[in-house]
Amino acid sequence: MILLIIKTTILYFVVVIAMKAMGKRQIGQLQPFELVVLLIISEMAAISMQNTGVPITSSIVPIITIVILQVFLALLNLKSEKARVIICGKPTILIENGKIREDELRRTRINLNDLLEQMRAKDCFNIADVEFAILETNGHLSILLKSQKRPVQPEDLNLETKYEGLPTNIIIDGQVNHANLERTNLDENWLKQELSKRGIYSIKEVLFASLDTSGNLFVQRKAGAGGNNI
Amino acid sequence: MKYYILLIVIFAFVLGLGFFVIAALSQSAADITENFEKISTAINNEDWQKANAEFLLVKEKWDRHKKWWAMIIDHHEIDNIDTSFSRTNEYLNHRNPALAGGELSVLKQFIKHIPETEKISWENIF
Repeated sequence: MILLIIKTTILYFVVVIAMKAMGKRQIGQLQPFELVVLLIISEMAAISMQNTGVPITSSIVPIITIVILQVFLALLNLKSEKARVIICGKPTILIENGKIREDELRRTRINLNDLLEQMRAKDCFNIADVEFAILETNGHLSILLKSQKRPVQPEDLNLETKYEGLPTNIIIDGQVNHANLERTNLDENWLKQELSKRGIYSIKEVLFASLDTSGNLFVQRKAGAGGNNI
Repeated sequence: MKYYILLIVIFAFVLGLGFFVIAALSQSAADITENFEKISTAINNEDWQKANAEFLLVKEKWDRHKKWWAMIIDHHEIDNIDTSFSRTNEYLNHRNPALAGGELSVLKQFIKHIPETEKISWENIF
């Protein structure tokens, strides 16, 4: 029993490190070969996790080998266009200039219902509105609407817009993010002053506070301390 | 903080249970095999009556311990021990000292091997 706990703990960290080494990707964004690698790694880890008779090295060695091969393939993918085409394939245009390409639908074995379903998932309910639909190598569908059907942009109306950057998180769960505060050329005294204007006298009372690029401070108290947005 | 304490308590409980299982397995393996020397001596002296009586005691102990061993160890290992018990019993009934002595040694090895596989050691982990 203790052996199972030790082996599971070791393998858990090995798998977490292996996943970190493979890069930041979500399951839905994985290329087919990356998904295969994930499945193999989980299977490898499970073998010696559940069987005390199987040494842990028989899981760790294959996992390390697969991670090395995976990183090698990913680097090859990054450097070479030809390798990318062989390993990941090419995106497929399913709708071109508003016309459905039957040959490509047949080749990718996607029926019209699948296509319509994926389009609906992208908030596009009328196929007549689509100029281009491209099936990406990870299986996602990208859609370009006809110019008359896309949402209006401020540029279309010749409207001036102000700069909008990312808001800076200042307080998270009662803890001040000093690095972000310094980046905005502000200090804790300013923060305390702003909070006291809002009737908050301790930073611990704040659940979340952020500063947008226009200088507006958003503050929300913790549930026990009021819990309202100020 | 409450959750951390709860998690630590659960983890400590599982760890404690694990250490208890290792100690209990070693103790019960020692308990089952303590009469093996007497059976071995009886076989060597061809005292079949004593060998059979002692073996019966061992079999009773095994049947008692087997119930909770089955919850912890691989059932394949329990099947091996059961098979070895049957073989030893037959060899003793047929009064064959060489085969009975050999199978008794195998049986002892099977039983002693179980706590060894549960012990925390480099060989068992890596």
